Amino acid sequence: MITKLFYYMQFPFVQYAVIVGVLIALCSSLLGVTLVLKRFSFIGDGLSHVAFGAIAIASVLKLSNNMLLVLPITIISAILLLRTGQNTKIKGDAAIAMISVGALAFGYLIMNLFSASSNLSGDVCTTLFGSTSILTLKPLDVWLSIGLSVVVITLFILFYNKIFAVTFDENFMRAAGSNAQGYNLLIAVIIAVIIVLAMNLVGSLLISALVIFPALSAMRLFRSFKSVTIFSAILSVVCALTGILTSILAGTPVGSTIVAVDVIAFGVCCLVSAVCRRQA
Amino acid sequence: MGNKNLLKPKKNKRMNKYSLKKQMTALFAGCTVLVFLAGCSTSGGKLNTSKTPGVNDVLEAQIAEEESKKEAENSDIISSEGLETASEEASGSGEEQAIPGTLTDGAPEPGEITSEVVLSTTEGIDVDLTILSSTMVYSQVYDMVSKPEDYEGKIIRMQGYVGSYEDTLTGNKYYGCIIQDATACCAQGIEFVLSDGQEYPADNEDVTVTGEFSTYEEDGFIYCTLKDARLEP
Repeated sequence: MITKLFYYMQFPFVQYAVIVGVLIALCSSLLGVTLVLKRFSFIGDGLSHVAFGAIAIASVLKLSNNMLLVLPITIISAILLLRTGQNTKIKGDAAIAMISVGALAFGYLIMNLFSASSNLSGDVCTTLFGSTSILTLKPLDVWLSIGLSVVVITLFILFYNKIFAVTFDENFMRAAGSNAQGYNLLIAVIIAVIIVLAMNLVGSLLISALVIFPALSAMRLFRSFKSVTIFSAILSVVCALTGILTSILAGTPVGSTIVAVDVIAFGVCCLVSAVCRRQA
Repeated sequence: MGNKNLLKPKKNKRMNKYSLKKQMTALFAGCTVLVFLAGCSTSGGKLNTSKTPGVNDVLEAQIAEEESKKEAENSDIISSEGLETASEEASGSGEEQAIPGTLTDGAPEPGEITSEVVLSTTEGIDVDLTILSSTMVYSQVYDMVSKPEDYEGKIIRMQGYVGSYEDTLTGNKYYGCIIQDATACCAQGIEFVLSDGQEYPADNEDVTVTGEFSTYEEDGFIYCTLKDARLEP
């Protein structure tokens, strides 16, 4: 099996998948802790459906690089959801649900009415479940993912203290004179970028798992923000790598295999936490 | 005094809790490292040497095979130049960049997968898709269709089901070998044209096709095809 794995690793598209998969897992887990603590766990799902709608428009417009349209639309939606969600009549969870199903419905409708593709169900399935799209990346996609991941990680490290503050006590941050809204905006933009990147890996229906599971697993074992973030990042990368390699070896769908590994890791963390509590 | 006694065990309990967590974390990290190390050690060790031939064994076998062929054909003299060429081909050290999944004149690569190839494929297959997992096959075919220039002239062997399409305007009928991805919602296929004298199979029939990869242009679109293809029983 190991020999087979090394053999498969010679394929350029497998190398691309591993690089991009690890980077996406790392980025999504970093912001996952903040999102879970801010009660925005489901925002990944909502934004990914927005991205699905944007992909539908891009494919109908026959854009050579759909990222040019998908990224701005997702960023705008993220800003609308995170910044104005609390001040409007429609509150956060309802706004997410509304945008989520609305974008999904319009996306499928547009694809159905205007798409020239001969395999509509295949296109929809690929976008929703990732299918093997992570294994069909071109070098340009890989470089784009690397660039965006570097930007996300750098921003997270640079503004770590501010993100920590805005996660736990937004009002205190505002009272202390910091621009809480600005940092919320930054988080919204980063989340949108991560969602668009992660669609290649697991598809739009399974993105939430990449954001939520590593953070929740880490929270079973650790208490401080820093340790939860670090463990979440490590666990996410290990799970993504295990999922990708398992799917390649066993011939299973990549996205759902990664999520299954995340679920198993969460179960293990719960078990370890329970054992620790009983022995303490 | 009583307060102190009450606090003491609490502190110890807390410390135990955290030290236990640290131990569990260290155990988890240790296990992960061990798994990776164990994986690395098995790959280069007994598995290869006991079950499958090594690189040198394979090269020697190939050279010997080439030598015997040359002897049979030209019983007089075997030129040293020809021997060198044969050994270069067998080692795959030519200037042409090797595509993964490619076998150079049937020369196998070391490892478990190679034994399958040697057992199941005939000589002269360049890209054997039948040895790959379903996820890999789908991705490889996608790569071939998106970068056909890299595979032009290569001998491809693939397994899938037959799908056909008839152009009502021209009356031409096209047959393709279709491969589904792991989610079974997407399919990739390559058209094949059988060499003379062979009957085309019925739709949805599982087939193994071997043919030369080539492209042609029709109505402004470039299509991939396996020409001079033959079906395996």
